[in-house]
Amino acid sequence: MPRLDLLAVRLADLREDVGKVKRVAKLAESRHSRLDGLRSVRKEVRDGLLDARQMIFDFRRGGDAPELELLLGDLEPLLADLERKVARAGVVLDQLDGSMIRLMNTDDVSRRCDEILRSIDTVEADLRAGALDRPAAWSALDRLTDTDCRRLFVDYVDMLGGLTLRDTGLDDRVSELTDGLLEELTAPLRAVPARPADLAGGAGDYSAGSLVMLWFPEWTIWDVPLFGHEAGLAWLRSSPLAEGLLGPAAGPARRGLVADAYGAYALGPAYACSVLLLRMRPGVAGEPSDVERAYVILGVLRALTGDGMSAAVVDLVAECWHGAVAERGVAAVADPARRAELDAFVVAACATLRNITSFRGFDSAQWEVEATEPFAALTGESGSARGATVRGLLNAAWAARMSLPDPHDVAVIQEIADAARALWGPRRAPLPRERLTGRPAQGPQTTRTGGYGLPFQGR
Amino acid sequence: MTSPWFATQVWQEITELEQVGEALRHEERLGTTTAAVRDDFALLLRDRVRDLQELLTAGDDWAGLDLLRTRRIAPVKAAALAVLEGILLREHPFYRGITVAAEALLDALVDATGVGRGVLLSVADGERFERMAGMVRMRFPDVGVWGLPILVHELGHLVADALPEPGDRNARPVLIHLDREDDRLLGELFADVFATYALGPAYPCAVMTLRARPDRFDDATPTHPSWDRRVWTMVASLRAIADQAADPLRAAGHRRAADQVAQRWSTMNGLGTEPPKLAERQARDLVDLLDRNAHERLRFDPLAGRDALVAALETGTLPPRSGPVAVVAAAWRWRLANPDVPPARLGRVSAAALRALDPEGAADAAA
Repeated sequence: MPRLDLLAVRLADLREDVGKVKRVAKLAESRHSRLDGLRSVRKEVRDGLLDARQMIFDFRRGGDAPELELLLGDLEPLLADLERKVARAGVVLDQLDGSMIRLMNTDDVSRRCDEILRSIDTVEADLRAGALDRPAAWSALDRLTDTDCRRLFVDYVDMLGGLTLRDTGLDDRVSELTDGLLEELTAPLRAVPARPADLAGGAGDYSAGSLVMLWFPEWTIWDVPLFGHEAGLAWLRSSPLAEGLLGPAAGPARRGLVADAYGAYALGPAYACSVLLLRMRPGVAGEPSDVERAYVILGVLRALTGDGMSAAVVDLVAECWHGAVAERGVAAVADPARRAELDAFVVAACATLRNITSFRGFDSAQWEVEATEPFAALTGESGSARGATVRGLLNAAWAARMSLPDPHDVAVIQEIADAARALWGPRRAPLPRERLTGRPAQGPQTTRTGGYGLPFQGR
Repeated sequence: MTSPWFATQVWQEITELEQVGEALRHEERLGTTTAAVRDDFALLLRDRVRDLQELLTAGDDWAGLDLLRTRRIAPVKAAALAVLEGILLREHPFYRGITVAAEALLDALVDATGVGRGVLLSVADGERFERMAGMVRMRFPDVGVWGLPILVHELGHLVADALPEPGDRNARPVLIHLDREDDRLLGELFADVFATYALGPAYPCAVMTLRARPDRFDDATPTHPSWDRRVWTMVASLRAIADQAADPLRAAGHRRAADQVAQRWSTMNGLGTEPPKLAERQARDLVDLLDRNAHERLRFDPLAGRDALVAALETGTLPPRSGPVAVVAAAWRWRLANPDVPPARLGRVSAAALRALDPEGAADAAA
């Protein structure tokens, strides 16, 4: 009888856990099939209603009973009412389906699980063949448990929680808004709410394949522009244009600066508002420091915004930031050589980013096109801004917030956020193509980006 | 007893004045001039005729007639002639565009200010305001959009004379302030502040580009303050407008404009970088006068997006429908962003701006 072997128990347990993740991923992806069940029930009800109408029709044609005719006359409005309710349920069902994103990274998760399973197999095989002694096998197990598996489990628990928050709308539709933004930027990403980066085991730079995490508490409309940075990182990975900006062997610092330049270019003043007012810390050293990042962001925005409201927003943010930097006793990029280097980077970044053809940078002209109406709607100057872009809405919301006589009036700030979400319209069903592929639409052919992208392409 | 010879000459003057009145009354092309202006002219003429008729009762007062002719009648005739010249030039193909554009701009600002009185427009060898007939003279032969901000300064003089107080149509708060301050040059500074208040940075930029002389930055004249004092007052007025702005965003927009003008001016003359205390105080008072007494819509909006308009002016396409102030501000914004363009391009953008200021003319051209 074989002896109970703790190493074998642990390896088997690990295999079981990883297999569970794989199964749960598949289950999560099958959330839509439950809605399909509801859809078939709805269809049955509608069919039943049709049958009932047919029976009434047949009876009227064949019979002549005044009392029954009276009864049927009462029944008809009841059936019509039922039909209306079923139709309404259908709309809600479609909206619910629209809010449930499809997991585009199931393949990615399976691949990660398979890699770990293969590693477990290898340890077991090597152990059996004597290629690995037991202490080395324990070390290999520890390594697997502490690194790859731990990260997989943390990410996946976060992701499932986030999916639940999205599906139920408890994230205040911020994920949906972020999706809309990423779609406008043609970034092949989806957003899900998650725990803060520092609680997720140092996974701050993690994006689960095509998912980006909305770290708690960034679940407000004011934080959505922060995802310009994620979109920038995705652009770095996919666009040959980015190579010139990155240079050979670019480190994370350089990549971060390029992503910031992209965020500022793509989102306009709203990016500076979110990043500088809500996140960056004046006076905290780093590589690059937040002061340098802010310098680049403001530099790109100043190159984009001639005058008008967008320039005024940038001025206000810059004034507020520089005040805070001075208060912390930090010099704002004091070294002239470094400043010249960053200035040159801003010029190069703007020149490169202007070659993006799938959307136009959010300069002051684009502000007029996309943000003027939402701003007027948010500040009560005119009616609706239906069909507003997410970029326009975010910039308008930030401008409305910046124009408050008391910029710290929490209640009014909340009102602006609520109004902006209301302007975004009802929860949206995915585009037909997206329904089929389960992936967000990409490229300039999407209907919503095409509206403002085409006239300016190829600048 | 009046001699027939003296009476003949007096009656000749009366007849001429009546002819002037007739000419103005029958002139249907008197632009967009309001009835109030026509009535003012009619009153002026009637007043001079009455003066002449009084002369007929006091014997042969040749000296009195000469005095009346030179001091009282000649300026009225000159003003009438200027009006008719302006009307005739308005019909001339070379001058029509600028006249219609100037009328559009000045009428819009008269309406936005709330003075309730139109302005007469004519030409002269330089821009000026003639108080007697309330007439703004354009500079002959300037037919470009670039000089329009200077006309707004001249309109400022009319506003100083005619701006009433809310609730009291007969009060003249600007005149009272100018009298009280005991500074004979303050009227010019009010006109500068008015033009800056209405046009934003386009006015100081036009002044710096077209009028200020590098060799005469600090030369005041008996009628005008030095360029240095004037420009710093404009900068200070933009800052005062920012201080009184309704929200922080608008304040930031005005501050940005003030900083741009200040930087431009200190680069040009190198005499200072900030407005003197006196300019700050006077600008604050003058802005306050406009804030209290003029309509709110007179104040330049620094947040209004003008990129589409600027782009349309540059390409010569029909711009989006915009008010006269927006067109002039956009034209100057384009010019400042393109300081070294050849005159031909300046002319093309100016022509596009004039078309934008004359929507009917543009429609006619398109037809």
